[in-house]
Amino acid sequence: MLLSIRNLFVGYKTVMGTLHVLDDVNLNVDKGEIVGIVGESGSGKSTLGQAIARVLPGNAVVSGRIMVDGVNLLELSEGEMEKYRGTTVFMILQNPFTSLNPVKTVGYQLMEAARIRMVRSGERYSEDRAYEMAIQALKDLRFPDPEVIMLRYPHQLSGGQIQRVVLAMSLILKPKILIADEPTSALDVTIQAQVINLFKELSREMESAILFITHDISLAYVISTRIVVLYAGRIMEDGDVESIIREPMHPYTQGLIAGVPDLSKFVSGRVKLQSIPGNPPSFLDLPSGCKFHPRCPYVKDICKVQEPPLTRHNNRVIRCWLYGGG
Amino acid sequence: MGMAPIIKTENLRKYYLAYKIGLLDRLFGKKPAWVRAVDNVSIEIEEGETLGLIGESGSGKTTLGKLLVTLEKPDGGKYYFMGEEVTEDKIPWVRQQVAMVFQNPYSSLNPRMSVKDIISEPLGHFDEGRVREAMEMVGLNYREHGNKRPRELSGGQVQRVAIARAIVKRPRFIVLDEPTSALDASLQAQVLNLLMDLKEELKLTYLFITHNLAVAYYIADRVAIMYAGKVVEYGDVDEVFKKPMHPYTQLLMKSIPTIGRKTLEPPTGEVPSLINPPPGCRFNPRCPYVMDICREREPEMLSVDKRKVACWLYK
Amino acid sequence: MTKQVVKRRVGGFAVSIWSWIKLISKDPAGLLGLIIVTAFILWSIIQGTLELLASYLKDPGLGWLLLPYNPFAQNLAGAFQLPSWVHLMGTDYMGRDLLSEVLYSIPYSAAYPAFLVVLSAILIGAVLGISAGYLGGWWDEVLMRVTDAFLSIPAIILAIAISVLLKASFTGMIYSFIIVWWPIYARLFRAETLRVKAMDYIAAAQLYGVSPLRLFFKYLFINTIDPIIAYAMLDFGNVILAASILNFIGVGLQPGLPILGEMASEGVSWGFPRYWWWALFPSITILIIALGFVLLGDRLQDIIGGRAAY
Repeated sequence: MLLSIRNLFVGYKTVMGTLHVLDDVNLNVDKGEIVGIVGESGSGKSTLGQAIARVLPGNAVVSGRIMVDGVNLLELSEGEMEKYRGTTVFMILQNPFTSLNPVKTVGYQLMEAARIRMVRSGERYSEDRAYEMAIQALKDLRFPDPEVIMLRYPHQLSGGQIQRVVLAMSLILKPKILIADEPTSALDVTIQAQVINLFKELSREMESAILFITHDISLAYVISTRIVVLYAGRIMEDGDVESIIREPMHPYTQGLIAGVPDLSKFVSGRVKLQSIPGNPPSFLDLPSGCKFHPRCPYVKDICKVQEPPLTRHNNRVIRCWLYGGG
Repeated sequence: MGMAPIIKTENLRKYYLAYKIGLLDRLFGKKPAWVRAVDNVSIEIEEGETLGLIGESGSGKTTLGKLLVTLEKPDGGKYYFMGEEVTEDKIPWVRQQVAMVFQNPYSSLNPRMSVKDIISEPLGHFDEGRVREAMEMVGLNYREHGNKRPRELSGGQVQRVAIARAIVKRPRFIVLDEPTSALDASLQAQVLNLLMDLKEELKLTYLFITHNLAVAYYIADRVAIMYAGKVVEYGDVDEVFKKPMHPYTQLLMKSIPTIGRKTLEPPTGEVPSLINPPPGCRFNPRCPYVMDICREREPEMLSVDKRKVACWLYK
Repeated sequence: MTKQVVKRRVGGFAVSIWSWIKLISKDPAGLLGLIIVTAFILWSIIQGTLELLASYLKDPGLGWLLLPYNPFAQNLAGAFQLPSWVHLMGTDYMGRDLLSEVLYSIPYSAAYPAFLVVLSAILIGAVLGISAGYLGGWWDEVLMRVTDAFLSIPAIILAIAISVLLKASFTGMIYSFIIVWWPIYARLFRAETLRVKAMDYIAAAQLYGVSPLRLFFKYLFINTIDPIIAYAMLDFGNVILAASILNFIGVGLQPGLPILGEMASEGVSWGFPRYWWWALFPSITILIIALGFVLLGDRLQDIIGGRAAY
């Protein structure tokens, strides 16, 4: 198991006290898997990605274990973690325009990535080899004139092109764990589709464990092998993509799938969208017991009082009293 | 549904200057470059219908929406509201009867005003009765929420305030610019259903701007697809979705992630420049069916059954 | 993170003042600044009111009700006394108690110039800057060029020049300061206005026919003023220093009244180094007051700019 997260808790210290954001996060991701982490804003999904890459802000409080190949990332010093960033853990961010260094050319940044890769694998750095690696990566990302792109600055590229450059970087770095935090949300629909296709193709080549964070469950369906549903900082459901979409077990997952406009729904005439009543909770004021209970159509007394643990049912992990809880 | 079109545009145009031309630039003979945001658009919206305006960024859909509520003035073509041509002097009259709901709920409300003042603003004076009524219609409570500031509310509630503000003076026509795109998934359905209920109750006409085909399918009666400042396809929503005619529409539908279909088939290439659009049909560099004529002449809007398509394939 | 805020039972405004105080205090320098500024403002209000009452009711005694001594009382025999428990800051060349003089002069040497100048500059800057940012066009161009011209000359030099032109009196100094101070506020307001103008709620207001006056106050002014408040805090300190400097060289004085900068000047010219306290204490007072504003303003800018650690 490449990535193993155990009992992860993340909170933030603020003027108004400590916000409890992520709690009881237990997750295993193997190499070659693409796990779609689905959550709305305020679910803590970005916090999860940042916790793994250890780029949380200064006022964060973290406990638990994030094991990568037997090493607990949370126990590393900042200096040791530096060596892990890039080749062990790499992150693609949502806003393409702030992802790259604006004062260095694309070529410089890709070759920098190549240098890091070479140094960490024990190879001697060779500028020619770095250049080759950069050009090849750009070709894999379907850039028609890679030599030209190498000379460009980020502000001369479109959002979609920047995301492809960042993907090229991850091809070069071949990280063990790739975290993509809403990498296509800022892109146009057709460009998003192009980038997603490239992403799928290359993920096979990279053999990384990929966490694809998104709020769009249809997008998660298209790209993932497995889906993890996050709500109010807790994992609510975790399972194989086809079965979770066809037979969602958790009421929140069911509500999400029923409430999101998706062309598949309208194949035979229009279907009224079911909406989940209420609002996602604020971390300042989390409900007692199960965090979803105020909005749950199947709420029982125990849900209001005690939070259900994560339990396993066949190939599904679920947090819900409807399915027992030991 | 009424018979008369409440909104009609004929060859509407809106161009923006691509960059500022200063004194020195004029001296050196710098030529102005124009961003053709809306280029010869002719559409009609019937009373009581919802027209879905679909397009990606740079398609001109937001600009068209702003033109229809007179937040922008056209550079060419004609705009008819309720049968009257909208000239400069008619603008206040139009503004009395239209409203707009914007994409980002938080930036569309004055952060320093209370909810009840925000909703009351279009009325010109504070009217508690009408504010209460509007709030109730969108599912908000006057006593609980009236005195709050936008930042104290959640995203869904803030968008409801924006909707309440839009309906408080009972307009005839509302432009909704991606009203659910910035909302959480679990709230989208709530707000969409609310919008549909309000339309029935208050006999409204909507222009619903979105990039999300599924949302458009859910809410619209007819759809117009925009690309690079032009309308490329236009017709009844069921027809367009079941049998998309324009190549861009077809590829757009194959680019949307849809449950049950694991593959996406987008068009190749980038979104075109609005300053220097490709000659002929704007979609020609990316079109899988491109012919010679496509690169030379812009296609006119052709009528096929009750559909309108701007594509040489159907000549 | 969702945008809901926990409702507390105490009134919303009081809660936010207290949490601001807590935030500011997390930084020791910020806390020191807060203490100094609060003491300065409270003192200026109390003492200033007493001085006004004294002249209005023609009862000078009110003016030094709270002071250890009458600052005008001369005692030539007791001139140039060293600081002691009897005279904490010593006495000046006329035997007047220095501490009383310093305390008496604080309102009008420091507080009045600071508030008069900064508030006027904010008002003028708001009107010009917001209109330029919102309306754009040639009005904006004109304003930019005018402020460019003002901002390219060092403020103090300009202030001195204008003061002398306008007669070297107190009001002359204040007017010259206001002339020199407004351009930066105009620029700040203009920049913020450009940011706010792009917001949809402005477009909505235009659509719903909000009157220009209402638009100015309720939509533009109130939403652009935040960064200016933090800047103004720092600026109070600047004005106090600048006014004292001008006072030091003999401009902007009020005849018959002790003035901090003037006292420092006389202390340096005539009493230094033998009667060192005469130069030292007025100068330190100016310094501490200005420093208080700088520390507080700095911390406020950090907090508003999001750089503050919780």
